[in-house]
Amino acid sequence: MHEQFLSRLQQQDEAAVTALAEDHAPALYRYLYCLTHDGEVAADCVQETLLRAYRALPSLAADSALTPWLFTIATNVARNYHRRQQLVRWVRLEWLQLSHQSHEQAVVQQALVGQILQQLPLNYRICLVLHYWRGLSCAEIGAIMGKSEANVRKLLERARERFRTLYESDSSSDKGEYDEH
Amino acid sequence: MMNTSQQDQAIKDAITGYVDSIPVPALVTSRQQLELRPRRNQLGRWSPVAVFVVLMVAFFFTGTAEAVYQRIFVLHQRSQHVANLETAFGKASFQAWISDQAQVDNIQEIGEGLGYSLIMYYKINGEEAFFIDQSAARGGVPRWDDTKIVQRDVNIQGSPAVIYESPVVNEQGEVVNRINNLYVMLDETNVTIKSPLNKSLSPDELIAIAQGLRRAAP
Repeated sequence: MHEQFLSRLQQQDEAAVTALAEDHAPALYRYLYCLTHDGEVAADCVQETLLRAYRALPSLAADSALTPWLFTIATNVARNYHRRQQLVRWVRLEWLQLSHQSHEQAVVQQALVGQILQQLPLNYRICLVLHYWRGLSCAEIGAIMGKSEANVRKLLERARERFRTLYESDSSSDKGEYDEH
Repeated sequence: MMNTSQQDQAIKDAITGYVDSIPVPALVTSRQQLELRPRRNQLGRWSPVAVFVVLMVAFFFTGTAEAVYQRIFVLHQRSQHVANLETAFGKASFQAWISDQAQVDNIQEIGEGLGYSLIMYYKINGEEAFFIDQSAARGGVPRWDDTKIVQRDVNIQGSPAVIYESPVVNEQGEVVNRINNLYVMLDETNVTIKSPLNKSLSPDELIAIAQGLRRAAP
């Protein structure tokens, strides 16, 4: 079944290509949003990812795993975006406002996670999201990032530590602020 | 005190909860539409020429490197000059706002459809006075790295507003100035009033400009 689908993709069968895009676009968007923290940019990066994928379909290997392949392209697109944005970066202030104005603790909590992820280096974000959200192993993440499994393990360890430290300190300070309302 | 496995589970829950909560907008997935999309973030073969022209024009008008540098973010690769206010307001899908406190010097538009935004440059006696960035309210305030909130409890025409300070950066990435800006959402439009790059406006000046904004005729 998978081989048949791959074969249709390689031949750029319109229905198969559309199914691939529609199946993966939401997950790619969420992943790219975590890496860019901007809805418009994330949507743009999804388009760029799909476009690159479409163009690469004829040369897709017969034993390719489609999801890691798409996430590899998405990771490269996000890296390119960050390289271009080294000069300036747009960050949505709504997160700051949300954390101060919302009385829904769950929403505040999610906004907090978004803020923390945003503070981490891109490679840390990639590791954390792929590992914890997508459930990928260090070897699989390594294939996506173009790094060795050992390297990813170290990165993930550092990322986890940084995230935990920020999360714990911000959670306690936010809780205090929330309790005061 | 949580053990390592509990900490790991807490991180997993936090990240998964966050990522799954991200709302997904309608995305373009058809190949035909993707091929035709505007290349907002891509460097085309003419981009180096376009950047060069932008640099020259910006140098001509401002004469300072840091101003040029900041203008690139405004102009980016996807903006273009708009001939007049009527054209700009006709294209905007949101209620556009205009200031009568200075003279409109230049109008730039960015993007198309939902992503459409307008940047209006104002001058007083030939001097850059301020510029106003407006777009459909969908995402909140754009913020630079190192942005600081100056004042939160501002009210503009009945809407809550915030004044924030953002850095002006030179080509070496050094902060050469810090300027105040005001953000307010007016009738579903994101409106950001920005100081000139070489001279920050005071919060009171920004508030006065914002209070004087009026709806542009559709």
